[in-house]
Amino acid sequence: MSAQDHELQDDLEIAIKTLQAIFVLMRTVMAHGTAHPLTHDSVRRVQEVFVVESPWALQWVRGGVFRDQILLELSDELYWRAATLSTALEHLGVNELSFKPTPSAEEWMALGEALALGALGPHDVLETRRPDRLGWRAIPNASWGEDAQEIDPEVFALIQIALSLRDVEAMRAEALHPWPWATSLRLLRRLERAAEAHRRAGTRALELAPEGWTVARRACSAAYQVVCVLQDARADHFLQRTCAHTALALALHGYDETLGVGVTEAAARCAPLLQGLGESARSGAPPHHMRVAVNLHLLASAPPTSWPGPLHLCAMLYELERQRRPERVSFALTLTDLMASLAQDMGTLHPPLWAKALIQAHDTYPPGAHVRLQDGRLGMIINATPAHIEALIDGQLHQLSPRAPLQLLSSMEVFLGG
Amino acid sequence: MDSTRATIAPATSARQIATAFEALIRSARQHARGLSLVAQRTLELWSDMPLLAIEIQPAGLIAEERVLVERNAREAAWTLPAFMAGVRAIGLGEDVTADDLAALAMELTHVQGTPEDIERLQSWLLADGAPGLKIAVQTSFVEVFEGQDIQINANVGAEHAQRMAFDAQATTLQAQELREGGALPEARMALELFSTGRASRGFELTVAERALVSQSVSASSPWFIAELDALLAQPALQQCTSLDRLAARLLRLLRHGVDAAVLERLVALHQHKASFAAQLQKTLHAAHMGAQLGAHLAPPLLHTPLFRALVAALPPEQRVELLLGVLERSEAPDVFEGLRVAAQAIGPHEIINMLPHDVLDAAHAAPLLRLLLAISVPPERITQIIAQLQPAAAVSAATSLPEIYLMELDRTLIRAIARLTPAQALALLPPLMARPELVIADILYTVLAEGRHSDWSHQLTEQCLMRALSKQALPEQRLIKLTRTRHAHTPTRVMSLRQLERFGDLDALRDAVRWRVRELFDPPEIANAMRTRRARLTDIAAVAKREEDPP
Repeated sequence: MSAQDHELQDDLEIAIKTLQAIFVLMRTVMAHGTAHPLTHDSVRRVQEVFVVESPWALQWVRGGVFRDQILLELSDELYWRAATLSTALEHLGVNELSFKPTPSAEEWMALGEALALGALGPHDVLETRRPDRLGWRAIPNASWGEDAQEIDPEVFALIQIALSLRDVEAMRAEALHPWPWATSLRLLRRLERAAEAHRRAGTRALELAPEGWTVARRACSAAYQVVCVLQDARADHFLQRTCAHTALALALHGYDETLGVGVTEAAARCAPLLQGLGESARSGAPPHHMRVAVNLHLLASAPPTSWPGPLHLCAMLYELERQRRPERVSFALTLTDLMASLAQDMGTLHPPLWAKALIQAHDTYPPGAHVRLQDGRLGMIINATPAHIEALIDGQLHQLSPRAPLQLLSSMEVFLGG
Repeated sequence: MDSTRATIAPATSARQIATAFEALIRSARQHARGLSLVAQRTLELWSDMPLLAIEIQPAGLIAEERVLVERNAREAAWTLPAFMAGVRAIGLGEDVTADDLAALAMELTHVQGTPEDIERLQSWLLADGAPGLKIAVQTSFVEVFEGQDIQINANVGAEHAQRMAFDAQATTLQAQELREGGALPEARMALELFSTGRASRGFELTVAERALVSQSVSASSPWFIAELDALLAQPALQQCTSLDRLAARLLRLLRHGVDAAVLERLVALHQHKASFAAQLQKTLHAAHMGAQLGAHLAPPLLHTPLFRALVAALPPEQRVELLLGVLERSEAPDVFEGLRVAAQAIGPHEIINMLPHDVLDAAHAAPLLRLLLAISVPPERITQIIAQLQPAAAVSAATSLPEIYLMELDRTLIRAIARLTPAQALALLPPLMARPELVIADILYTVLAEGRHSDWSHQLTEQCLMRALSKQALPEQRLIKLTRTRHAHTPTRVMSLRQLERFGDLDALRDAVRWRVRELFDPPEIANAMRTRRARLTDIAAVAKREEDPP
């Protein structure tokens, strides 16, 4: 174990001890009030265990307790204590307690008193208190069960896409061999959740993300589109995940800074994925891993006529996202450009069935689409629903009627000055 | 499964199932040798309540709003880390096997409360590690937390779009870039075309296309073929494959339909000489692939040379399973016709040899005989086969035979009926009795008269008796014989006497009850019945005499 690991262990131990001491403090206040000598003993006990030099925080998220985002390993007894504290904190509207060195006895006592009130039921005692060295805040979506707050699906989808982009970028930064199955599965699950919660918001997050169209972002987009189309086709989760994983692996192995290699070559580059499929499994490679490996094998070495239908979708999206960053120009293509290209090559380069399925999965004006208004002004679609269209025109967000006549423009036309 | 269920206590409770599941996980922790047996037992219990989903909570295992197994230091300790990993409920899927349960138990027993374990378990579940089970998985504690520090503006993208729009206006493309950009496919493309096509709904999937997409995502055979091909071609894949689980997965796919392409691959697999192919064949056979194929093969495929090639390629016991599986479905006209064509092509003699008489039970014998008749197997061969069958199979087969065969086989059938258990008789005789031919009455009469049947119910004996009398010119004579023969069972004799009484033929009744020395050796019920009727006849005679000769 490295020195850093030792340090981490010590920190986590202090967090657990503090958790226990805070629990005892809360119970003592509840039983005896703040003036009792036993309560003062409890405060002293908290002060004794709380020996740190820098600020840190305890978070209660869906029943788990974290110190600075690292999950604490709790014994059975401690789990119940943490759960009791969690209930009290939820009643106070709080999911995180943060500490600066070193809270005074009065501050600890105030916390104990607030927790004791929270243990009895909802209370706003913390809204008026602002101690110097103790802080608290609510974390959205941190509660669970009946008390859980509803999170806006649009925001949830945006969070999931943001996390997915972060994960894919991290995967790109690491070596892709051996293939990080666990990480990629987790990010695919995020994409599925984003598409289930609010597909349009997910597409918007991908199309209008502030970063450029990196390999990682294109890979993420290809996988997301696969999920969207297969969700529309009511494919089961396992098929969605397998195909999205195939698209992701192809993209991460096959894309270059601009274009990249063709789908067959990309699949061949994924061959090392087949190594060590079952290393972490206790009963052979999980079926998902096998299916992804089989897909890549087919894409690399079997004629397209022998591919199962959804593999055509994977290959099509790989090729489309590959075009996203054309060589030797400084702009990237929008989703509308890609779909127009798809429509043009339908029946020649791309199977019409899956091309139509992809086009149908999106609204007429996908986020990021360039449009020309009837008065000649240029705009960019931010959000379009059957009820209204939100577009950026002359640097301002405008609400347009869905019946407003808009002319779609390609990226090239826009860069040529509309 | 039915026979297994019969051995289970009739009222399996959710608590029993939860306890069995917990015991399975304990076995997995102790690396118990009998893990698969415990898994099998758990599955059998759970199959009694297939819709039961066991909730996983930090408190333990919960179902029907009750804690069934409480978590403590010794029991259900795994529920907390599993809960942390997002596992909320475990239920049975359609195709669950004991092996699926054992694999899940192995995974759950290894999960502790560390973030690494939690992620590993969740990753395993997301990778369809427990394919036969329905596992409800929510976001894990770790996952939920990751999103908390990301501050999202619901108008995400607008600011960036704004910057892009301004940049675009300010951009001056270099001449070179312009020239190269102009060569791009997307620059040459008319976006109006797409726009117009979209407006006129030209890119919408038609109903037929929707059906194709739907079929494409639900078809299992292309994946079956792909997986098999890839495995045979890739030694790397073979090395990390558990043959048992692979076979279970392939069979699961087979259950969703067997088409020509699947059949072709299976034939190829059985002709493959590589050691992996041989091992896979062995595992598939142990998992009763033949039966699965027989149950799910599309009827039009039975006509094809592929089916015959598969029959030829399979080892004998798998061939039997396959043919029996198809025979079971041969009530359907298209299946029967397909089988008839196949049997004709394979040859009657070969078909008979492929299905030895000792493997044929009552369910399969009748359709097989129907098939043999349809492909013109000589009568003497058919009677020979029936003579060799188990009693239940012979009786079942006879039900579908033409009258001429029944006449030929009467002694065989009498022997077979005599050896039926009461339950078999109850199931198999009514269809036979429903046939109108006289020979059936004769056979049943002989069975009753010779008293060779087992303890049939009163109702069945009565049905047989009535059928033995039907369409007879002199039914009273049969009843007299049945009453007086000492070979018939006592209830049958008493029943015959009562029936004769109902006929109202006093002369026949008199013949039936006439005293003889042998009556001394008859069971008391018979002797009493005879005596009573004789007394009644005497009374009747006396009354008649008085009426004839008034005082």
